[in-house]
Amino acid sequence: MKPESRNRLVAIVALGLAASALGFIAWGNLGENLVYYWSPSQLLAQGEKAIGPTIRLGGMVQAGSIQWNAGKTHLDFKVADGKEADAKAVQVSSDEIPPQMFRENIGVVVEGTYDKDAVFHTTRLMVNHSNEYRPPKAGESQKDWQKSLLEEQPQANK
Amino acid sequence: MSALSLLLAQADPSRVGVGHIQGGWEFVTASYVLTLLGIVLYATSLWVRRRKE
Amino acid sequence: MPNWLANALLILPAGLLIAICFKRDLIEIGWKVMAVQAAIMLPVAAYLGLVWAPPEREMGDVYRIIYAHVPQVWMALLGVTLNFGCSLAYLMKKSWTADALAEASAEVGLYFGIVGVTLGAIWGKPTWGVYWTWDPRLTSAAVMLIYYTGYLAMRRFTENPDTRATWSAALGTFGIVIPVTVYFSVVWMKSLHQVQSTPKTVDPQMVFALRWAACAFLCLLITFTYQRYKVARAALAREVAPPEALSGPPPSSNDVAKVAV
Repeated sequence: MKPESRNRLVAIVALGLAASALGFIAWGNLGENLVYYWSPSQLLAQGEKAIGPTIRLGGMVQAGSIQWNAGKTHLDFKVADGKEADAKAVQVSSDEIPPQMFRENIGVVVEGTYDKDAVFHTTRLMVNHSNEYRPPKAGESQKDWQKSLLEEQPQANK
Repeated sequence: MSALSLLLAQADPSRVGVGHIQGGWEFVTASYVLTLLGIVLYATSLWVRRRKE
Repeated sequence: MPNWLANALLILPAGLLIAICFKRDLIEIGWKVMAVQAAIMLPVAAYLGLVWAPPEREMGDVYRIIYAHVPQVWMALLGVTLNFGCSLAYLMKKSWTADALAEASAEVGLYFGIVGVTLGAIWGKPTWGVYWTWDPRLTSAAVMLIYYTGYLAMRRFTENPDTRATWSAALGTFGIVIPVTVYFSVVWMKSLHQVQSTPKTVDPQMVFALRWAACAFLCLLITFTYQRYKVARAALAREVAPPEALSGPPPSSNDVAKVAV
């Protein structure tokens, strides 16, 4: 084969492989097999299988569920599927100081184990930021600021 | 940066649940310094390699 | 702040790239213009990001890392995409220009990728609470750094210029998978990293500062890539030309002749 035609063959093969790899990543069930985290409802649907191994759980910190014990550095809260009061939620227990951005109704991903008492014990609490970047509003006091944040629907990741 | 940044990166225990970051300038400084350092080092490496030709 | 100003700043690099397509010699003046534009715009970009732009409601001042992290990651993606273009061009029509430019863009893309990912990790600590996690965005970005490190290592250890050019072009062509996956990872899969922001989700003043920084880094990318291209070109001339020149018969291929000149 002439070098030119060989090179073009190489190009076609490389492009073909690239296209199939992209197709597999985008539409294959890679997402289901290599999932980064489970939502509360996905975790609950796993039943017994979820108990034991180290897994990640992602969702939104349920409003009114945060219980912080500063003396013992212990944090209890619920991670829910969404913002609604009746959204499925999992109780989470942590012995670490959470990141500063931690609050009600913010997206979190926790890494740890789920036990048979239906509590998720996390050793790694991560807070996720939305794709919104806004300055503080003029004259907005700390309290109003917090209120306005809570009223908005944070952009949880899919 | 370690002890200080660790302290600043995490919430003041009395303020858990507040939901916004205070301070953290050392992370910003580190990022900008690293960017500048990268530019200087990479430009130097290009200069050195060019002189060899 | 007027966005037309940020867009107008792009006229110089964009116009230059188009002009070079018609008149190659312009590059020698052009790269100097780009270097000067980068040298003027980068300090201003730092000022805009650190002082001029307002703080962010949730992230306070920490979010100012965006003006360094995001443009450099963009330049990394642009660099490796340019590598794809050159690789494919080489396979379609053998050209030492394409080969040298592929080498240059891969290295410059890798450079911006290393800085960009490191800055992302620094930003992650105060915001997410961790420097690193194996979410799809971060994992694909790490794969990108490894892949193009491998690409450059492969080039370095392949002695025959023809073999090297062909096989690295194959790697570079297939490599397009990586920037595309990095870009869409947050859309296709559940990630800790947020999805792309748009001008609608970002305060206009922040958008302006970000565009300014992106333009500054684009000028730097062009400067670096051209300088690295000259290094690659000189190395190729040493490899390809001397044996041809010494072996008696005149160089048969146009490309070899070009390299020798």
